[in-house]
Amino acid sequence: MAKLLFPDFLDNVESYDAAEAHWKARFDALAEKYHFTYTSYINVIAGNGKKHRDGNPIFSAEVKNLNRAVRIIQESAEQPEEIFISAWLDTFSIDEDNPLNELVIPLVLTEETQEIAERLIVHWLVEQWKKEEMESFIKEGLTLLE
Amino acid sequence: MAKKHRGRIQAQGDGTEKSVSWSQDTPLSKKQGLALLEDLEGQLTKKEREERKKQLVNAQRFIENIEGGIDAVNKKSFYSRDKGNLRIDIEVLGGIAFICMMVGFLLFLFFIKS
Repeated sequence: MAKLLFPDFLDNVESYDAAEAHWKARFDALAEKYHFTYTSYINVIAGNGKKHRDGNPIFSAEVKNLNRAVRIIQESAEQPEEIFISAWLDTFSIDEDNPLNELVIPLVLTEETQEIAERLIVHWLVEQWKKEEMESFIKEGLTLLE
Repeated sequence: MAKKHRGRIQAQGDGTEKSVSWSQDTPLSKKQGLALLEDLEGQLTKKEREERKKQLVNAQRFIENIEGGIDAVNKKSFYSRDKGNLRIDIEVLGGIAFICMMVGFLLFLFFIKS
């Protein structure tokens, strides 16, 4: 049975901030284990000074020396016990001459989807799989969950 | 010289890669953003439009409902859960986007005076 983590994160500010902190802690642990550094590249503060708390994205990390990044989009569950995780690769032309290569992972957060997301992140940022390898893994690996 | 306020709205996935962009001295208003989204929708074939019907509606709602605008750098993806790669992406690469007209007018006055 899928146990939802932070199920009310879109309705409760404290829960949202806890979910955001959870992602940061998980990413910090990965960075420490695999010896890389990252910075956030998405500005989550609106022009009026308030934080965007829509989960799109809930977390972003750019590893500058690799020119690779991860953007996590967290959704609320549409049905109880739902497992949803997807992924795609994209580019983001913050620098037109050197677009950032992104791995985008939308998910409903459970312990299972967290584990799959982290596996994707390790393949992308640590093992530095090629785009074709990632796309093949995403296509075959995530289809098995459907 | 690059304009301060710039960005792009893209329709992507399943072989589609179509986009509209903005690059201007003043922040992009919600009205301008919605017009750009409509331009993008107009570029899509009937099939591409049908496949992204929900994503286009979600992007439209996002622009209409966002409070305080979006400050760069930001990227929002509106996708299909069934076919995640069929999506609409909004990229704010510089400055501010999707502010209401009144705020835009006040910012314009501020930029003129400063």
